[in-house]
Amino acid sequence: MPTSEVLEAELKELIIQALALEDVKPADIEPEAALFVEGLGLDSIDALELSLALEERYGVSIGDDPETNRQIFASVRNLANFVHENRAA
Amino acid sequence: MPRPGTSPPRLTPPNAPEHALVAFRGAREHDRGDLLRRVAGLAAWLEKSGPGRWLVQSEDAYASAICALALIHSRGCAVVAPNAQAETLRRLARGVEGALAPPGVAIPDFGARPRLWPLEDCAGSEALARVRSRAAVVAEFQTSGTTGPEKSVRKELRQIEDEVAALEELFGERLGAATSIFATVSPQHIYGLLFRVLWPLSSGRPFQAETLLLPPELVPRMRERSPCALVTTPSHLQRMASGRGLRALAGHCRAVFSSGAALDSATRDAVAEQLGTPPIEILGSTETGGIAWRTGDASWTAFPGVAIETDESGRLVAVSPFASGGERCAGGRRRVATGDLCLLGADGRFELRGRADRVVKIAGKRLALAAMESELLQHPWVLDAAIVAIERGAEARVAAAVALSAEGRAALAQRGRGPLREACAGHLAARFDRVLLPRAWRFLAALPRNATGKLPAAALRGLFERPREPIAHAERREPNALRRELEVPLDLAQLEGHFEGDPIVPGIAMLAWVMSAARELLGHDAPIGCIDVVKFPEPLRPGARFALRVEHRPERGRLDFELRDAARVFATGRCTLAPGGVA
Repeated sequence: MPTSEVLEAELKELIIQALALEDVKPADIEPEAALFVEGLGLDSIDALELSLALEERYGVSIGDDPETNRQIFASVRNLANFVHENRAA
Repeated sequence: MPRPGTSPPRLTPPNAPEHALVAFRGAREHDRGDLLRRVAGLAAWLEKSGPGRWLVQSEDAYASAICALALIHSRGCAVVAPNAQAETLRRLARGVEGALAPPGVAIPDFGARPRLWPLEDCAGSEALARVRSRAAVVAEFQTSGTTGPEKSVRKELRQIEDEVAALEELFGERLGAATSIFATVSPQHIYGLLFRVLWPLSSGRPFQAETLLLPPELVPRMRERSPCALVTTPSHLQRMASGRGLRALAGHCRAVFSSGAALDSATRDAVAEQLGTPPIEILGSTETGGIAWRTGDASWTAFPGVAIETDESGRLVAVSPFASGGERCAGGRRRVATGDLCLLGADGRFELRGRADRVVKIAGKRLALAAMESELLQHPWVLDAAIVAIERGAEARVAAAVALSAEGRAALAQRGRGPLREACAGHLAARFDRVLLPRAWRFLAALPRNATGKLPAAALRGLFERPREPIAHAERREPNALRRELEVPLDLAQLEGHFEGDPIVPGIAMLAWVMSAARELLGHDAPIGCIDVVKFPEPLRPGARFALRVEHRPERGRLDFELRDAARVFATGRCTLAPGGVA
């Protein structure tokens, strides 16, 4: 599997675990589908939880611009790109 | 702009200059002149369109302020929508004159009634209508219906003005004059509307118009507008403090207000440690308004003007000028009973003892489950606790699920389960009759609370149905596979006798869980043969949460299994199925 796919698969597991999603398996999460409101239907507390999990797992932190952050959290693919670009080598 | 000589709106400082900062959104700022123009414009438009009840849906605190002031000055009443869901808006829109909501918010069945959004199209030159009676009903809130169906709660102008004045009397000095007020809570609930909109507005403190929740977004903005304060809830605060995200606000943030539920002691301590000041907890509800506050300790102090009583079943009763409903008393106050058990101290301060509706009878003795929980919480080893009624034989008994603190976990690892259990039971025995003491104990890293912090009864009972096995969080079946989300309880049965300071789950225990899942998948008489391959790459420790997956490969006559979390594999392998069986 290419690195990006591995990362996407990890992130799906992380989302399911960190947010304790019941009855969701990684295959149910489309890499490009919306995570919040539509799609998985996550809410703002989930975003808070997920940002903590990302920091703990990959040592990456989001920045201070809400619009950029909305983009980052929009989908698993965007999250994977963000983690890939920002995590310590 | 109001005509010279016209008095300023209610709930605003009388003598502030036009350029005084009222609200901010990022770098954008709204001054008092802008506020007064918009309020005058909206109030004039409301007067023309028809005074009466108006639906308000605004997640923007500055817009909320404009709507509130304009409705107060135009014989209007705000019907405050608790959320923007279509059904909520449809229900609340029945019988309103019109709506104040952003253009993007769809209101079902609204027809051609007037609607306006004060951030877009209102600025006026008219004078404000004359001041209304303080007894006028100016807002209607919806309760969440935790103790019954949803209902609407009406607030008079005097109640809002007096509660805001009480907040200033209590906390004004601590905040300081020009402190900027930030919030993670919606202005569409009474706590948010009072604390983040109307109190700052009336005390001349600038407030944040938008609502941000993520510390990386919120913290730099708060630092930029130092000194500042934060209006939030336990669930937001718990997560912010756990990431140590509040550290950077030390010396900048003068107060953190928390309301909505009790704050756990770990979060309280983390906030105090990171900010250098403990959070201020507010006790209240839509119906009662603010009742009391506390910082750091267990005892609550009533708001000015609020008297605390207990009724014959020990419930907290507030006699308050801020309350709606209940029974009318002298001086415009109302007597409202809450569902919380209360222990009233001689000094007038009080402690809460949990919900009154959770009382069981054991051997003829009454036990408030919440009272036992709060007693357990006093023990330094206990982080969270739940007492649940169980049936042991013919008799009712109670059982205790305890989430351990770091200290408690260390004690469990060093001394083992028996001494831990005796210490907890001994702590309770000092206050409760022996017959009431829990007959079963479970020690966990965390109680199975859901997203709103509530403990589903089924999850709690499930803990006691089987003897100290992994806690099942979720299960998923596919045609040929079974996946279980499990958590290792801190006091897992198989850990007994394996206490060496750093207990790990024995491989044999993991294999037993695999077998139980395999039988579930394949049927109880499945001919499971020998285990061919098994590896335990990483140790599995108490408190860990993991996924167990078994997959049947009929074409190969075998069963594959794996225990893992997002990062690590704890066990992986396969077993053969005897020929002639399911394979």
